[in-house]
Amino acid sequence: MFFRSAGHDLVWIDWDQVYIVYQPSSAETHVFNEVTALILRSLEVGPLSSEEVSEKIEVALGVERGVLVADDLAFATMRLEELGLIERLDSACAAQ
Amino acid sequence: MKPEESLDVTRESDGLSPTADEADISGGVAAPENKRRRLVRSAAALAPLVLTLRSGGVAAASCTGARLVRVGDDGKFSDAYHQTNDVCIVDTPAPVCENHPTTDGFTKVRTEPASFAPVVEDGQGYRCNTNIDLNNKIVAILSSTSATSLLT
Repeated sequence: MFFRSAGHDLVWIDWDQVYIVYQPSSAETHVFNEVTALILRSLEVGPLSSEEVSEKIEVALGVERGVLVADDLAFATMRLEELGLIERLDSACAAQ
Repeated sequence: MKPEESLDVTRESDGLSPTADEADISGGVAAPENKRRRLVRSAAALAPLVLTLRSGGVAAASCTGARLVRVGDDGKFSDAYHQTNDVCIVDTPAPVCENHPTTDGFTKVRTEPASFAPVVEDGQGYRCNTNIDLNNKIVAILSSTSATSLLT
């Protein structure tokens, strides 16, 4: 499973590792924690697989590999996709 | 909805006020950094937090993420993203926001005004628990998380 940023501009307010994020495209305001923020920021560079996103988050947070629960990541990516903040790609599209 | 994160904070031994229950974190850390707190995160603390806020006036003007499903002539639909307590918007055509997809898949919908019905399992598929005829129509499904945020 691959994901990429949907490319929408967001307004971020950093509030001591909790992020208040305004999404102008939908006029919605979200609250993200550091892990969710790292998901979005890791995908800004380019498409990544779920495993690559997990790895980047764990490295950024300085925790052991495998600590990030796959189901938790799946929930977050599903919700972020629903909000239109990231897009899901099949393997062929991600390889291009 | 995922719980907010909690952090276990373990202070590095700085030699100034040692106590028996302080953790001794060894490693190649420079002397000034020994005095900083380090965060030791548990798996629970790594749970991503994704909340969407609502306020009355904004809710009326906003578009929120949803997915469109095609209801069959038996009133059922398939949904690979189904979660317990998902909600149907039973208005048809689905209130898709301008310039967003109107075919199966993720899109953005207006949630006010809108009429809702719970999604229920029905054999191998799902249906909107309503008397409104949705057969052969495109219906918007709000995830339980999204629907919950509408109530705040």
